[in-house]
Amino acid sequence: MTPTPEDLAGAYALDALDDIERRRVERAAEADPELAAELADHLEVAAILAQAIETSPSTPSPMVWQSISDAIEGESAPDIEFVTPRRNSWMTRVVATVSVAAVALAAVLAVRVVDQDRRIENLTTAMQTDPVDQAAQTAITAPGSQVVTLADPAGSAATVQLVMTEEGVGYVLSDALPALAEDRTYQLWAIVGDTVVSAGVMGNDPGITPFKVAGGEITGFAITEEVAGGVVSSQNDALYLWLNA
Amino acid sequence: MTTNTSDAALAVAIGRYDRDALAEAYNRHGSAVFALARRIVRSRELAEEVTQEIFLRLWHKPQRFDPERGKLRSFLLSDTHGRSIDMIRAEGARRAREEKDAVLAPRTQESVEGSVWQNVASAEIRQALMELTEDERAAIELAYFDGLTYREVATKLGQPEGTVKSRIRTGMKRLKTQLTALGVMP
Repeated sequence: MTPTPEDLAGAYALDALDDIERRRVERAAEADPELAAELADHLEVAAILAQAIETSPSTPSPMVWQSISDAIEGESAPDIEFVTPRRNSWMTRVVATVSVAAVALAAVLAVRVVDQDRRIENLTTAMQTDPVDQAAQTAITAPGSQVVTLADPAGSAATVQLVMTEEGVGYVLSDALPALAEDRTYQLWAIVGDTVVSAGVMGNDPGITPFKVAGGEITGFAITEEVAGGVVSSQNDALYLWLNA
Repeated sequence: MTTNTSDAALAVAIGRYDRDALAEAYNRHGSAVFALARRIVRSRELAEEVTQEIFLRLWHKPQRFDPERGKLRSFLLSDTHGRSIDMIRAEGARRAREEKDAVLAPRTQESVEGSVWQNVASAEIRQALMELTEDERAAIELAYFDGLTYREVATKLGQPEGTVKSRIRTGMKRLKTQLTALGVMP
């Protein structure tokens, strides 16, 4: 009798399945949150067991780190693909759609690019005299700067504005964002070409947040809510999104 | 990069090509990665090779770590286990390993003493392990630390495959319950 994916859950966490069985379990877990939770528990138990075992001597030779360090030495820009491979990610959707039809996507998501003059007037009025605020205000009025409005893809009226200078330095004018719980944070993402990169972890109650994006043409920005400290790739929906149509 | 930096912040920093962040991750977890790899592949050289691969993989693909799904250490050890298993299941390594195993006495059941579990330093985890039956402990040890599939475990223990996979699953669930009760797991 063929074992069910549930039967194989424990063996899965111990890497004790063949490839076909492992894929069966993974496919089943994608559609079954209960099974996915059980797998997560088993994997955590396995990791604890691994940590509990002490072997002596358990220290790798210094040459291991030296080899790692040498291997990354020449990599000024590692080939990091920030686009999450998992489905249901706004990153995947955004990047895929930007690649084929940026204009159409902009229309679908109701991206609003606010008239620049009106933005500047509104923003400078709101600015405080904090050094970061002043820097942002300078950026807003600097030649070549671009002010964009990130809109709620769900269609609400909520927006966040952001100014980006020609030098790649920017400021999220995020003081209107509602405060999150202390274990959460807002995170800013830049879409550079067909890649989504983290542009900054903004904190749970951000004011004006500076950031810098180096290299490449920026085709969009997004803000997500994440666990405190930020994540490398987001699985959450964008709260605010701007795409360069 | 301080020792207080969170796993998530470390991963984000690694994603920004911060070598100090990778060094910090290595300082925190390199020995554990190496120890697990060595336990499975039973060779210092191969374990060092695995360790190097694991941290280079973290450098190149930091997005594979999701802090909402667990700790960086757990992620790295899971990765280490998988890579070590791949290594020993490679045909050449398997042959050498089988030759080594052939000189050992056939294995049936084992108590905590005389097995890998005797190396468990944590009193809580040792206590949790004592809640398992000897059959469950043996099946989990052979699968996890010897890198056998559950079918191979069944053959080694002379027990039906269905029985072994049930024991593994039941044992893992029981461990989770015990580790939670003892405060080791949330």
